[in-house]
Amino acid sequence: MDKKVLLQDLADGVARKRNIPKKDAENFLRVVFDVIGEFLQTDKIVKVRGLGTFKLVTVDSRESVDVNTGERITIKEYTKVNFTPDPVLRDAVNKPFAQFETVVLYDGTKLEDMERMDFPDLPEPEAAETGMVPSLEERPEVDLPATENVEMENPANLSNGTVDDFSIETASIEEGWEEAGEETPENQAIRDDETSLGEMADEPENVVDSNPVAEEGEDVGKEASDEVGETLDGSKDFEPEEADVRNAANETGNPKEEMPAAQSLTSSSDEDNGMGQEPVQTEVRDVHVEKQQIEVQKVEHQTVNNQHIVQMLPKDDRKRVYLTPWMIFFLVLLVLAMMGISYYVGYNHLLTNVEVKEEAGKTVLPKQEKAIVDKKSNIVVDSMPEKPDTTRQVVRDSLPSKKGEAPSAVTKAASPKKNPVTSTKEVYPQVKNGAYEIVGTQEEHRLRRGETLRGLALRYYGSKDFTVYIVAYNKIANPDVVPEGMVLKMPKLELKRR
Amino acid sequence: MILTFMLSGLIGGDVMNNKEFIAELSRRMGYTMKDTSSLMSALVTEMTAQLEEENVVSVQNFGSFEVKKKQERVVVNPATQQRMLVPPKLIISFKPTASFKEKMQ
Repeated sequence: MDKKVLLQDLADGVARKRNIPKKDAENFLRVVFDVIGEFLQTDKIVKVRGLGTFKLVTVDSRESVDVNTGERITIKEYTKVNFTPDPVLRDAVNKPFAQFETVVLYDGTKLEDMERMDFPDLPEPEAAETGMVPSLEERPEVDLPATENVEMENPANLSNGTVDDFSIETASIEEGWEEAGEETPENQAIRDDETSLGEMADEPENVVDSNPVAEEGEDVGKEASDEVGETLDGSKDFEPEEADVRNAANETGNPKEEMPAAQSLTSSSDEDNGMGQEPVQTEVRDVHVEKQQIEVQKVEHQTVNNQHIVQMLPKDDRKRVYLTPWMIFFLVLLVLAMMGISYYVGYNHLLTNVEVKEEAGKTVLPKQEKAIVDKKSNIVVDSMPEKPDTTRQVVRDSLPSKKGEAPSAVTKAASPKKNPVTSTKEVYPQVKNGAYEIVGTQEEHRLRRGETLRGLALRYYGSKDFTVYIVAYNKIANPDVVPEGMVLKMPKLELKRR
Repeated sequence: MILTFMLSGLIGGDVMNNKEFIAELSRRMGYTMKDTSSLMSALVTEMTAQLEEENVVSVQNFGSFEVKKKQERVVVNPATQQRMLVPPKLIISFKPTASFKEKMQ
């Protein structure tokens, strides 16, 4: 390889091949190349079979620039010796790379395709969401005077503070969402609320009271219907109180109040959104947080304004400002929890959800019942007080019904999510996000050869999807490899319900 | 240009084809055409073998044959803008010696 072969070596080979003296061969080779040279000189072109074609090519004189001096110089015409190997020789030499062929590249196909594959995943969900929004928005505007009011007020509020158009839009959109989630009875409730302007104030109370109610029947998916029921109840039941509260509110008369209400509104609507679309993406959550932060800023601005306008309320203002971080934190918690709940409840039990929803619609009406549920809701109530207080302070003024609903929605949302956390979980290992909770051992099973966990799940529970419960309950590290003779405890399962 | 050379060669009858070449060789060496042809094929075979091993065949006062690797490259068809990936290949390059070049002028 890369060895230099001289004419003598070639002659050697030829001599061996033809059994002639090496000297003759060498002589012959010299003559061969001499002849090639001579004929090339005279004929300009020489073909040698098996080797190739030698050619003399005349290169015309041309102008150029001296690399060193930069002067323009003329390269004289000269003759170049060109050699084109015979195809046989050429192919023989190229044998190592013979398998390669020229490939046509279609304009960067691969990379772009990959990107296109990636993109659709992201935009699509967004598109779906945005697609939903308009339809939702239409409805509130057409059907519901309440929403219009809300929207009207929000811009006003916003104009007070240094809130940009975007936040306004988001607010209105969120309202739209919320309403879309709600059902017609609620709308009626809203109208009722409107007619009695003062109701706004008491609605926070409604929220507090109705928490237990909400909790009992509630499943995550059907909150909307619950809301409806609640708001109906609350608005009717509390009218006398409302009046009082309204008066108080009027006395204090905050211009800013609307904002927090709107805030709670938006927050609740956020939650609604989260619940409506079960797997809420973290991105969406981030967006919510941002919105909330924006709103906080809004509130702060307004408080400043309010201090100018209404001196009597600095305390409240400060309190509210002070609480807002808590509220934000809480809201984030809510959203997170709801995502979790909606994910594992909604996924497996669409049907049961529907049933429960119906039940809820009936049961919610008698609001006082089920003090039992209070146990569960304790946590909620504990953690909640801050919010109702703030909202109540804020909501003294006449707010469109929405605002009232919002807090209720919030608390409600809070309650369902807390329940799973507190009620079950500790005693037995649970399947995270599972629709069933493990409440005990149904029976034991000794694993025989050939049996699989999936098979057992199918036999005991009717679906191999239940494998996860067996795995979780028996704390099997690697479900793919289970030893023969292993005693498995088949978990007793109960549908997760609140 | 090649075409013109070839044409002129054909017309003028001065193309040095293999047959003429062998004839001239045999005339000079005093061998029969057959022997000369056999020797030539032996020479070509030998050179091919050497070049296949990527050896440099260097002939005094003539030039050197060398195998070079050309990297793969992308070419664009200017008419269609179609891009083609040309695979790497081994090619034979002939480099005449200075004396030979001088002689050719």
